[in-house]
Amino acid sequence: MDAFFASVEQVLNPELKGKPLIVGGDKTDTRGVVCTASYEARKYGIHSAMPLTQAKRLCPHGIFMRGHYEHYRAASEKVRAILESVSPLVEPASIDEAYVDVSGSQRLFGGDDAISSYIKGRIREETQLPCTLAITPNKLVSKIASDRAKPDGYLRIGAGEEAAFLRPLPLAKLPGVGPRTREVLENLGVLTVGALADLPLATLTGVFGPGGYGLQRAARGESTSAVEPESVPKSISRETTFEQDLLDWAHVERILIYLTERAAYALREKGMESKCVTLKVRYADFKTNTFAHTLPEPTCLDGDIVRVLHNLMPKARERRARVRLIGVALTSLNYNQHQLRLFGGKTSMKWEKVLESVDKVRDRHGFEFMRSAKSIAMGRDVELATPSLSR
Amino acid sequence: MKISIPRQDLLDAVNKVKTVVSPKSALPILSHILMETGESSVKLTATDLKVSIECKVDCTVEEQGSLTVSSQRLSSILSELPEGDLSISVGGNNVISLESGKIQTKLFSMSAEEFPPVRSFDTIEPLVLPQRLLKRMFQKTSFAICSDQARYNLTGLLCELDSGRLTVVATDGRRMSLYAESEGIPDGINLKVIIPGKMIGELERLLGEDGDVSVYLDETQAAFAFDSIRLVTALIEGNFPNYDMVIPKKHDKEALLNTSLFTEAVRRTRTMTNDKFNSVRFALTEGVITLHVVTPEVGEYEEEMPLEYQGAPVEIAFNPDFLLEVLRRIDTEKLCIVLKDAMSPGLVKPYKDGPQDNYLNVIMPIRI
Repeated sequence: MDAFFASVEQVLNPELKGKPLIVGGDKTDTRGVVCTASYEARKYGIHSAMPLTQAKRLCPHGIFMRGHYEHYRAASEKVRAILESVSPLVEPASIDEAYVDVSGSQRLFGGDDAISSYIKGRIREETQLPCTLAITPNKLVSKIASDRAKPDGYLRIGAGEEAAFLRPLPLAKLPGVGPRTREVLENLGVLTVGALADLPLATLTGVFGPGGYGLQRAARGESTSAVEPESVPKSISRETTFEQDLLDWAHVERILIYLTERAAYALREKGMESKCVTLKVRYADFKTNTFAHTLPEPTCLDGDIVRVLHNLMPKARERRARVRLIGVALTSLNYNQHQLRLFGGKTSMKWEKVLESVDKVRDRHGFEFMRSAKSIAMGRDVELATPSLSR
Repeated sequence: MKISIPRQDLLDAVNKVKTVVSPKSALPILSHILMETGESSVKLTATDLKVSIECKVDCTVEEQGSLTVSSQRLSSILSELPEGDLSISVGGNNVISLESGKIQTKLFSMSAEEFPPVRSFDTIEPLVLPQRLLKRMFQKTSFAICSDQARYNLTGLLCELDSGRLTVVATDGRRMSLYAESEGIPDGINLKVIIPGKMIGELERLLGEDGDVSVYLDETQAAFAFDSIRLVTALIEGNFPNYDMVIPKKHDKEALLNTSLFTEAVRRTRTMTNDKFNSVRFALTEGVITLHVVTPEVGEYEEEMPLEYQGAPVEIAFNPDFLLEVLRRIDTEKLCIVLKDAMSPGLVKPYKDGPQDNYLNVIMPIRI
C-alpha cells in the first residue's frame, strides 16, 4: 500500500488530499517519529522514522496527526480479504504489505496482468486506496520491484529477467545488505547489485563466510523462500514513548500495566502462552535496558505477567534517571501447549475464563471497553503517542 | 594427625562423599572434606549445610587427629597417583602433606575446627528397613520431584509411614508419582516427612542391594546409616499437597498396553517434537491407539498400535517426556492407562495379573 496511513486519512477526510500529511504525532508533540508521510510531504524530504521535530522543521505548514490505527487495521483487513480472493496463499509482511503466491491463479484470471488489474481495481473500488503491485518469480524480487513501481504502480518481472532487473540498482536496495555489509562491499569496489552478482563466489565467501553464497544468490534475484500464510510470531511486544520523560514510577507502572493488558490480549487472541517476560526501559539519555524473567510455567494471564514486571521494576529503578520509553515483550511463545496442573490450577483456570469473557467483550466493543482497575487509574481515555498501540 | 592408607580405598571414600560439595560456595570451608581418625579408621565428611555425607574407611592410624582438605584438589590428586599406600598428615599452619613413594605434595588448607559439625543421632531409636526396598522406592518416584526452588515444599520426596505401610510421593505440580510398600515395613510407627531431592539422589546412588539401612528421624533432620556410610539431611518444612485428592478414582476408561512396544512408539514421537512444541496426542478407540504429533515448522508423525480397550473413544495429549520417565520405570510386560477425558489427569500403572495399585503415576494432560 502506498503511504498507507496517510492515504487512509485522506480517504476519511478528502480535504487532506493533495496536502503534505504526516502521521505519527500532532503539532504539539515534541517527540516521536514519523509513521507515514504522504507523497506530498515526501517532497520536503520527510520520510518514515524521521523525528517529528525534524519533519516540522522541513515542512512547517504540513498537517501533523497522531493517526487512527483502528481505521488502518480495518483497511488492511479489507485488502487482505481481497488478496485472499485471488489466492489462499497470502503472507502478510506488515500492516501494509503482503506477499501473494499467484502461481495457481493464472488460469482462473488469465495471466499476471489480469490478476494485477483485478487486485488494483478491487482495492481502489472498495477502499479508494492506492497500491503498488509487482508480479515476479519470487518474494525477494517482488519486494524490490514493488518498491520501484511506487506509487500506484505495477511492475512485472518475468522468469529469467530477475538478474537484469536488479543489475543497475544500488546495493542498499537489496534486502540483507545493511550499512556494514555495504561498507565492506564498497571497499571491494562493488557499488551496484550487478557488480555484486558478478563477483566470484570464492571472493564473497572469503570475505563473508558462508553468508557470501546467500548474498550472491540475492544479487542474482534467486530466492526459494515460499509464501507462508500463517507464520507463528516469535514475540509479542507493546511499548510507548512518553510525551515527557517521567520520574513518577507509580505512573510508569500503570502505563506498563496497560501495555501488558494490550500484549496479553494479543497473546490470547493467537492462542499462545509466553514463558519469558521482558521489561524494556529507555531512559532520558536514550540508554536502553532490558530486564527479563523466565517463568516456571508459561502463561497468558495479565496478572502473572504484571507480577513479573512488578518484580523487575526495582532493577529498572536502580538507574536514577527519567524514563522516556517503557515496554513489555513476551517471548518464548508456544501455541496450543497448555500444560494442566495437578494442584492450584483452579485459580488460573478461573482467570482464564474471566479473561476469555473480557476478550469477547473487547472483540465486540474495542479494547478500551474493558480494562483492569489498575490501568484505568492512569486515566480513562488513554492517549499514548504511539498509534500502533491500538493494535 | 597422620594416617597411612591404600590410595584406591581413600579415592573410593572421597568419591562417595564429594558429590554434596558445591564448588562455588560462599563459605570456603564447604569446599573441603573433613578427615577425622578413629581407632583404626578415618572418617571423611562433606557437607553443603543441608545434606552431609560421612564415610568411614579402614587405615593405619599413626597419630590421632583431624584435618580438612579441598575436595576437588584431593580427588584430582588421588586419581593421578600410582597404586599403593600413601600417607597423609597435617603440620603447622594447616599444611597437609600427602606422600606416596617418591611423590611429596603439600597442600594449604583450613583448620578442622572450622568445619561445621554434623548432627549425631545417638539417642534416637532407628527405624530399620531393607536397603534394596528404599532404593527401589526412590528410583521409582524421584524423577517427579520438583526442581523449581520457588516451590520449595515440592522439592523433596514425601515419605509417609502409616500402619505398617510406607508410601513415597513426588510431584512437580504437573505429574505425580507414588509408590507404596507394606512388606518388610515395621508396624506401630507413624510419620510423615519431606526429604530433599538432593538427599534422595545421593541415597539412590549410595544404597546397595543387600543389608539394612537405619533411619533416624526427628522434627527437623533425618539420618540414614548403612554399610560404612551415614547421610544426614535437613527435612523440608512445609505442607505437601494432598496427593490422595488428585489420584483419579472415578475414571472409567481403562486400557492395557504392551510396555516395551508403547515405550518405543512414544520414543519415536519424541523425535518429532521440540522445546516449544512438546505434546503428543493419543487417540484411543476399541483395540487401537493412535499417536499423533504435529510440530509447526518440523512436521507430523502418526502411528497406530494395538491395545486392549473396550471403552468409548477418547483423545488426550501428554508431554511425551513425562510419559517416558514413567514408562522407563515400569518393569511389567503390560501397563494400564486409566483416563476420563482430555482435561482430566491420566493414570499410568504396571499391570501383572491385574493393575498394580502400589505404583501410581498421575500425569496432567496438555489442553487440546
